[in-house]
Parts: sequence; structure tokens; C-alpha cells
Amino acid sequence: MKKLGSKDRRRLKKERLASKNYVRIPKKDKPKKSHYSGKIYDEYMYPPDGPKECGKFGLRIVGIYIGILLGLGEIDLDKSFLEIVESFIKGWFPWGMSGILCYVLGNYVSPTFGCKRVYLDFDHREESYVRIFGRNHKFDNLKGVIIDKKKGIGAKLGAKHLVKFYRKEDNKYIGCLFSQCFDTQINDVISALIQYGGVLENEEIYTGEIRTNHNYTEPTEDWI
Amino acid sequence: MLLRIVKNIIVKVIGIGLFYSAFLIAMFYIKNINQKGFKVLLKRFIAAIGFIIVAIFAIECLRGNGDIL
Repeated sequence: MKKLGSKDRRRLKKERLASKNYVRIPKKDKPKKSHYSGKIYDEYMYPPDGPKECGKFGLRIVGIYIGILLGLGEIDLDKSFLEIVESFIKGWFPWGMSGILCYVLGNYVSPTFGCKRVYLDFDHREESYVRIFGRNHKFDNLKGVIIDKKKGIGAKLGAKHLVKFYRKEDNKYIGCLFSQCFDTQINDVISALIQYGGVLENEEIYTGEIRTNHNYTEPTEDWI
Repeated sequence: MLLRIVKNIIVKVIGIGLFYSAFLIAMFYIKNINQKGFKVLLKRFIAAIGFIIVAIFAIECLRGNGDIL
């Protein structure tokens, strides 16, 4: 694959913006979850697990503290109710709140910046879309080129593999997806590409059944 | 008092985030532990130092009552 210069990239961006041939899915026509088989399909995004755990942890801390406060007698009968509440808020409340905040940030805020939405449906071939640069493209009309990425900004973000998408009819560059920190997602795309006759960088064409827990980093002898 | 509590919460969120990034750095170290070569070694070395710095900052954020903000 030839490396693209900045001028090329700018030109490609212009072309991409000029093209109106993308598919727009109305909300009611989106594939329903019941259509999906297996865990490949990705209607929603994979949130990172760390903040989620933090949130659970924070909630648990608050729960334990309330338990101790109520049960084991940190309640001093001389103190008034307000004083008890105040001590709680000063002591452990920030931990719980920060935990809940982390939960919200990690689950609902960070995925909107962190990753791209992909929905694939192998059973309903005509209904499978991939979302590239904010537009839904039909998977059938696309040709994907899988590239092992070891240099560049994607690699710095933790991406190992990059999939470039071209339109089948005129080989027009549409966009790319790369695995940021969400390895599963790009693996889904790659396994889908393999099922649809994906193209690897060295022009090999892989066809065959998909493996749901397919890991692209593993040796590729047993793919076909 | 309310402002202090809010500050405390924000500092703790930052601290948790730093802890998580420290965890990510540690995972990076573990992933690259078996690879050979000078470049990987350098990366690992930088990651180790970064881990210590980030972890110190995280602990500094998490202890106390949000005084450092």
C-alpha cells in the first residue's frame, strides 16, 4: 500500500465530503437486536471496563458505609441527625460520588469520543452496515483492505490493525477504521471482511466461515 | 463547604482516571514483556517510569480532601 501524503489526504477528504452516495438508515429501519445471532454484532459500543469497575466500587463503598453508619453504631445518640449526615458527606460521600461519576463517564461519555459505531448482520446480508466517518455504508458495496499498522498516529493510540474501505465499483477510498482500545470491534469487522471476501494488504483473499472469537493477532494458518 | 465537596469529588475522579491510566500502562508493559529489541526495551523503560509518575500523582489525588486542586 502506498503511503499517502498530506495533499493526498486532503484531496481524499474533499472527495469523501463531495460524495453523497452513503446510506442513511432511518431509526425505525435499523436492524433489531433480535435479528442478531451471536456476539459479533455491535449495535452499541464497547466501553472500557476500568471506569465501570470504579463505579461499582464506589457504590459499594457508599453502601458499606451506610451499613456501618446505621448498623454498627457510628450513630451517637447525642448527635443530631444533621450532624450524622454532615459527617457522612464530609467523609465518604465524595468517594461514592466520584465512583458514580466515573461510571457515567466511562460508560456513556467516553464511548462517544472513543470509538465508532459498527453494526453488522451476517444473517441479513442486505441489512449489514458499517459506519465510517459518521456515515453508514452498505457492507456489500465495500471492499476492505486490512493493514497491519505499526507506525503513525493510530499505532500511538494503541491501534494494531487498520481497515481501509474502498467502494467496490470504482475503487474510491471511503474511509478507515482502526482498533483504538477496542480490540473486539475491529476483530468483528475483520472477521466480517473475511466472510465477505476481504482483501489483505498483500492481495490475498480470504474466504470461509467466520470465527466469532477470532483474534487477528493469532497466527493465520488456520483461517481458511 | 459545598465547593469543597465538589472539589473533592472532582479530584477523586481525576485520581481514579490516573489510576486507570496507570493500570493501562502496566498492561502495556505486560503485553510487551516477552518481545526483544532495543526499541521495545526503550518503550518498556519509558512505560515503567511513566507508571511510577502517574501512580504517584494518582495517590496524591486520592488521599486528602481535595486540597491540591
